[in-house]
Amino acid sequence: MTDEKDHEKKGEPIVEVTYLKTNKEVRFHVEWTNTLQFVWDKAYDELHEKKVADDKFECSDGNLLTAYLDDTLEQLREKKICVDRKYQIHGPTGGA
Amino acid sequence: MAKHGEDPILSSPSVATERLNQDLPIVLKGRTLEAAGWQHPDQLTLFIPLWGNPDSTSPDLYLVRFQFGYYPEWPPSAQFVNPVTLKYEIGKDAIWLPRIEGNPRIQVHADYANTMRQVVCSSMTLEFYQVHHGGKEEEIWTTDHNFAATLNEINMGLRPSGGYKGRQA
Repeated sequence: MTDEKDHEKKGEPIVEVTYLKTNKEVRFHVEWTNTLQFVWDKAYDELHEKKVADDKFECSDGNLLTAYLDDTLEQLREKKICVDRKYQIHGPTGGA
Repeated sequence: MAKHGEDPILSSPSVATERLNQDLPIVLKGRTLEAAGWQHPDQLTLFIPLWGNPDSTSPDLYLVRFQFGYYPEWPPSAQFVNPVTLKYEIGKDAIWLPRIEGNPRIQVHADYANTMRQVVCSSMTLEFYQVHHGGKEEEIWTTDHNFAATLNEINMGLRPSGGYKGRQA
């Protein structure tokens, strides 16, 4: 049985992460007990990108997730934070 | 590579076109130009319709003209235009500009510092460098970016969470 099917059997979540600098997207399995920080770190590996100091992790609606990085995906589900588990990495930009 | 305080330098049209053609399918995420509603009237221009407050029951339509003459060393030019004339006229077309407030990443100036030019003020647009706006080094456009960064930055500013407050007129 493949890893993917194992995850599906266990009901483990799939997450999607978009790298806003280029629109590269990745989709991968994690576990409900993984923290959001884990998801963010793993996303760089999946994207083959390096973290930049001022990168931010956001929900795909643009809401910043910095306050929730230590929460597990299970906790975020209970809190109804970014329930579709579609995230984005927003690199440093400036203007205004 | 883009730098604060330097005038952007035009790219060779063949280099800019080649890179744009390479980036287009990535930014389109598998859609065709037609399916996305984008227009590509010449090799270095795109017109892209965008929505203000996109999740509302009555989102506001905008049209942005992207021009890639300085790409990829510098970001694309990004200008909100009147969807009928495909141009922007100061004093006449303010209704076609979004009002974005309180977002440190982006604002839209109808007439930047009385220079008679619209500036989408973001380090992901060409105009930001042409007016020598200045800013932090880590925020500068690099050739690791593609124009998704520009498009995404504008789209984020068109959401309520990005400071979107409706039309400028």
